[in-house]
Amino acid sequence: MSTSALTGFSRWLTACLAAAACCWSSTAPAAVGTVDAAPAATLLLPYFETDLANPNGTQTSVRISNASATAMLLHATLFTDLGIPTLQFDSYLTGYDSLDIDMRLLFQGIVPQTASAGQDPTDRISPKGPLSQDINFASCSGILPPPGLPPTTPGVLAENTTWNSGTLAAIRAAHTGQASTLWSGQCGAVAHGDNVARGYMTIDTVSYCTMRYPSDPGYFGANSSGDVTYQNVLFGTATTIDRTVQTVYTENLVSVEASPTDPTTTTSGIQTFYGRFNGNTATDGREALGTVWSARNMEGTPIALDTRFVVWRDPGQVVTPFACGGSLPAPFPLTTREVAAFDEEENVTFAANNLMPYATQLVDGATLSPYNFGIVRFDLGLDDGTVRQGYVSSRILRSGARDAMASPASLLMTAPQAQCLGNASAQCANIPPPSFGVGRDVN
Amino acid sequence: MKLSCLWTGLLLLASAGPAFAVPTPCVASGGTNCPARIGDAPQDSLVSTVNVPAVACPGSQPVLSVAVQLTHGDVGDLTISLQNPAGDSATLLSNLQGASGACRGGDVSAVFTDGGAAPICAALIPSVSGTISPSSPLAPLLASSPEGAWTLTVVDAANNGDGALLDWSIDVGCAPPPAAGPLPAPMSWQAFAAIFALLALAAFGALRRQRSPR
Repeated sequence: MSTSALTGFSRWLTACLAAAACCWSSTAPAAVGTVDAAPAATLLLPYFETDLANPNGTQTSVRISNASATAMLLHATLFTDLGIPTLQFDSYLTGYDSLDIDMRLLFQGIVPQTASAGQDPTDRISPKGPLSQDINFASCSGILPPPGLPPTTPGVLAENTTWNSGTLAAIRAAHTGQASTLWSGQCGAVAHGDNVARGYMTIDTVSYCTMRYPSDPGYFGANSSGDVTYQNVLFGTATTIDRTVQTVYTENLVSVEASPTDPTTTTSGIQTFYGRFNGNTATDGREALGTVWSARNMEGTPIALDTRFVVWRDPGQVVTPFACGGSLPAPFPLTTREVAAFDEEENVTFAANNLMPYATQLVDGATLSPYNFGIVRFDLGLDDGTVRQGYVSSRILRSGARDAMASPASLLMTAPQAQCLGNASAQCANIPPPSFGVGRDVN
Repeated sequence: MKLSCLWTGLLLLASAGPAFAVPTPCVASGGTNCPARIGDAPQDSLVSTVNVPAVACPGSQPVLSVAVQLTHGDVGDLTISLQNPAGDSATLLSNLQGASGACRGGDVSAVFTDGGAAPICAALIPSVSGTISPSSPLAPLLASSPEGAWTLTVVDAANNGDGALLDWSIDVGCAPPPAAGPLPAPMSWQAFAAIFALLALAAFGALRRQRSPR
């Protein structure tokens, strides 16, 4: 092996070890408002791909676990890559239970089968362990176990059937940028023309089975009057597999902690995770994600590295379906406030502000940085200075090899911290400042 | 006389050939529970039935093949069995093993028939495919009349991992009729040489008779 190849490989190895160290070091107690990897009331799958034409193409599957002995009710919502909700379903977990959501199967109409004690008195659908609570959610009768979904679909479907073909076709079209009967023939996603369903998913703890989307009134409510709860008990992973090129990435789902009392999640005007659906009144009680992130970037020779960034962004408002073939709806395309690429001698290049324009996307590191090795620093606010939350993780692949690595970017500043920089108003009084020396601007 | 022999031969060919081998698919024939979700353990197994019409194989034996199409995240969790109208059962696939432990591949799209290849757990989807041997032979299921309701049962033995039976079909075909008798042994080179020599001698004699004056 040549010296340059050795150097490249050692960098690869160092990056792998650093990523592993990051995973192992997540032992600090959970803190609301810090986007830490702790059990949470909401989980975000920031990006998924499901190749509808080729089962051996890119597919995503998710595992969600309950960290507590208490039985939990979950509400999952799928969004398009423009942040429009398309599908929702409820799931039930006994204490310490786990649940798989295989997106390949989901887009064939197969939803995980769960049921609380009332719908599953013999414990055959959601069995429990000796330490696990198993209770009845009466509101779930007729909803769990999931019949042909969504349950509001007209027509009678037997309990064990898959969805009807019309509903399935509508959801598949909705996530591939095609005209969908979900919206009277309008579109709700970017049309890439490749029959790959894209989008993101959220999973919330809820107090009863609900057919509401997070964007619907009543899903959140002041003083715990909405559907959601503040039980920080969920954690999970997402695995992205491409059998054709034999690569697998596994990364944690993004934890979004909730609190009914913490100032970072309850102060009206301070961004929260679901703020775009409630006018930033903080009724969701969910911590906002970061706005400034930094991640490792490795590209090119000598061992054919390739970095792709998962970039999830808050559109900041409710997004409506649009006429297919026409312009994307407001607020798209999203701009960025600053994306700076550094090499290993700290030379810097600023990327254009239009390279991650959607609510979620996979971005080739080579489009952001001209350097083979270095870091990329993302400020996911808009170019007019507006603060917007977002999330970044990196997937590093060695082309032609099976080893791949996925890790979250380092959080430099949360959205509330950016909102409160230099802001002495009362609403910012309890927002902790970012780490010493970290500002929104590189220079 | 010659024409009637020809018609009789054609009829025999038609009855002995595969013209009666009509697969009965679950979906197209209005069978039960196809498509249908496969209950995750420890839920009840999925039971699906199709009605097979009468099959005639005069002069030959019926043969059975079963095509199964299902989608599932963990094929190694599954046991698939088949029951004939008389209540006899055979196992098509059971807890298939992969390189290390149960097969974690996805989906089955395969035809099960006696004499097929051994099933393998492939990395690509469908993980189980091709024409493969069942775990136990199918031939005994044809000891009684195949006419009637056949039942496919799919059991998911492990919790977590979802799936659905998409379609399956029963194909009761007719084996090729047995040959009338053994073929003659191939001619040895010595016999061939002797015949050639005799023919050459006869031709030589004929030529000599033509040339000799009358």
